[in-house]
Amino acid sequence: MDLDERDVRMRAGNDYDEDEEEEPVRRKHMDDSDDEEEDEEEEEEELERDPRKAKRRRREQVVNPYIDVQALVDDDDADDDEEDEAEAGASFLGQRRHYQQQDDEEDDQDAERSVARARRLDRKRFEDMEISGEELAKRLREKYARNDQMVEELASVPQRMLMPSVNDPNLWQVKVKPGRERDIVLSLYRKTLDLELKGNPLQIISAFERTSIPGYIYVESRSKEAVISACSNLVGIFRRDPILVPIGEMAPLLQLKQKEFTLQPGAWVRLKRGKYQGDLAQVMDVTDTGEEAGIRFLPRIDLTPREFEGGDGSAKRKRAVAATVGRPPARPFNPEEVLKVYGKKTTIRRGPSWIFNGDTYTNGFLEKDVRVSALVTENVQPRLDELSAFLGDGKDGEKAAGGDGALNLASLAAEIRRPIMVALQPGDQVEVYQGEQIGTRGIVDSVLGDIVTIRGEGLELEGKMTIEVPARHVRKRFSPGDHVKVMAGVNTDETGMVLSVNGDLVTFMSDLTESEITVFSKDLRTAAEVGSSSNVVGNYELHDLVQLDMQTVGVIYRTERDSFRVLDQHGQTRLVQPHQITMRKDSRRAVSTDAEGNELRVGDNVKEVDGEVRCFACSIQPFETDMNRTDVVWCYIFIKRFTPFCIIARFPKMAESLSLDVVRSLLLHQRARRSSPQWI
Amino acid sequence: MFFIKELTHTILMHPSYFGPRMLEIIEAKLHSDVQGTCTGQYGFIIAVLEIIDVGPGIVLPGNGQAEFKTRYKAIVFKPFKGEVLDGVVTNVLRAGFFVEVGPLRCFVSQQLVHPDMRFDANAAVPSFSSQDQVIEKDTKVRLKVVGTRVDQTEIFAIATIKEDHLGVID
Repeated sequence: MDLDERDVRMRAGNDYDEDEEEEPVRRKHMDDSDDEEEDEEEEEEELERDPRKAKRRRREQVVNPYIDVQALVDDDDADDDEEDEAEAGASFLGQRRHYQQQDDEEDDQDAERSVARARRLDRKRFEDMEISGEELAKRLREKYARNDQMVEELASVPQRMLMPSVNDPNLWQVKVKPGRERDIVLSLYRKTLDLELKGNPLQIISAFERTSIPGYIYVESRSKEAVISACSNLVGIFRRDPILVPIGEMAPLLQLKQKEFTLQPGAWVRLKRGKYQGDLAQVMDVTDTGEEAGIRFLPRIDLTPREFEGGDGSAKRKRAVAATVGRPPARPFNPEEVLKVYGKKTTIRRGPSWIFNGDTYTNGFLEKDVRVSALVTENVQPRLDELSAFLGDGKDGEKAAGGDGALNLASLAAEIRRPIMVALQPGDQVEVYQGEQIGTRGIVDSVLGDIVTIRGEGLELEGKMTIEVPARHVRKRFSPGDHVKVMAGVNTDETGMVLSVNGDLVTFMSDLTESEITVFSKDLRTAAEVGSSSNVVGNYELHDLVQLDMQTVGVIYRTERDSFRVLDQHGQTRLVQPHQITMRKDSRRAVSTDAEGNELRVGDNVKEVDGEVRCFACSIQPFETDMNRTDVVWCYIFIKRFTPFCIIARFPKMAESLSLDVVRSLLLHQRARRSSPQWI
Repeated sequence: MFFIKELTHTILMHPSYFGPRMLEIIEAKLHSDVQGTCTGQYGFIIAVLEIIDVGPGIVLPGNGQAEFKTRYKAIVFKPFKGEVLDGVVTNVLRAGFFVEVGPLRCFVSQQLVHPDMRFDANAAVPSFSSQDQVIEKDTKVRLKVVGTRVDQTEIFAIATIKEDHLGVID
């Protein structure tokens, strides 16, 4: 017992030191540690039960200052106590006996144990530090993740909710020396910081300047006196009373300028200055920063120079001054002429390009990198004669540049026709996708010039039934199932039902061709009528057999706005303009012969006797498309005179709809109907 | 949706039919004339239930034909936006598939099919398939009409199966 008590005291002493500092942490950790450890610990704790219990009670009060983990300690202790008490009855005697048997060994091991415990404690402390670090990081992550969501949610909140009201601080306009606005704002900033540190902060909230409004800075504050005191003793600020900015003007003052229209390769621009002022140019590429663009345009080279300037600086400058009056005409670069006038040394050939006076000429165009600020990018309406110069080159250019899609005729045509403003009509469903009213949906009430009045959903809440927004902030809204018509672009007059809407791209299924078409919502209009105006283009109609040239005939299987899709006897499809068609062939009464020399007419049932043996009726043909073999589309059969076909007379029922390769012939064709095949 | 609707149909009767069996002929002609047709206003006329009134036959001056303004009751089928229908797949394409709901032809675009279902280009029969479902020809599907296009003689619908409880039905 002596030993026992001494041991306990010693332990208690050790524990006390440790526990005073480490108990909360250790306790907490213990819960996490595995059973083995716990068992050990409990084993030890059994020994010191009685003295410790009393001590622990005392200690709880001592421990109280650990505010952070107070609850934890209490809980754990309570748990432990419960455990202890529960175990007490069951194992106390056994443990005791066990201990007494190993008394001597214990004595020796004890020192080791306490060292081991101290080590374990250290290790746990270390681990705890790590864990708490991780936890901290986790907590931070959670915090920030939540913030991200908040930001996302806020992004869709209409900005009109954030407008300043009478309860917010006022904005004061202060007159300053022009050109010094930014410096003054900065010195105001420094002054604010300085005075704040000195414990006498300025009563202003913010200050800013606008480069677009020279000679003024703006200070946000609740009182005029605060502004005056803030501005006092600053160089460059005029001594004049600050002017209050009306609430209505506060927001426009801070509004950012509309983001610059980003140039796309292929876009049309005009040059602002210099010899080429007002000339049309086409963008070829844009630097990543968007500040410079590679453009090409027709050069104006003086082929009758009064004296040959060897390219020295002064002469160049003089020429620049000459500007647009009496400038040489814009003409494609012609190497021969230039060589003749300026001599061989001035021009160097480099691959497909020529270099003359430091400029590069390709395909007759002058290619240059210029700053975007030197270009007119908006409202460029290229004239047809200007375009034709580029267009004429388009084909060559395509050859040279490997088919630059931006140069094709279709896009040019679309470019010319493109309306500057979205054509909105009263009754159109719209949504606002830009500006302050972003996210608002409604129906167009009226259109007055650039301003659209919208009767919106959820706007009644503000006691206001309509809002006015600029037309460019509005786009038409469609929902799946709407029946729409294309008003502009390549697919003009196409109608169909909307399948899906993605931003301002609307995909709909064409009524006529049953194919999916994607267009901009601005080019669409809801429409009741069906189909393109007609299947007739020029003198030709859908499903006509037409002669393209002496060797080729084909069948019109699709009409487009001013062209046809024709399937020829070689099974190839091509896009054909009406004027490319020589004549229409009537073959309703055409007769051919089959593999056995029997007469073959329109409407006969035939069976393929060679190759894949298939059955079909001439009258209504399934047509193989490249997509899918059983895709039943209307089409025609060309039957070659000596192809291995034979008539099966009065064949009652054909097996099933089968696809058919287009067989070649000039002799017979059959008009098919646009429906699923019905076998006789 | 199906409705019972009272409709009228004008029948022109050649004088050679004037006689004791004229009413039977009128009835037969009415059935053959209207059953299976489609009007934009009322939809498909599925079946004539009864003839309410054959109407007085008025002989048209000049050509001798008699005009009967017949009133009859018929079952009509008109699809509506948002209506849920069951149908049979008739044709599967990459862009979507066609479904026949009785006389009504519907198109289900692949954009209106759940993204899990993909067009299977490698399969023997063109089909849309996901882990546990396959849509091919003759599959029965439940679909929801998204929009209808009403022509003079045909109604065409776009449908979706991209919602709960739609799709393949067993």
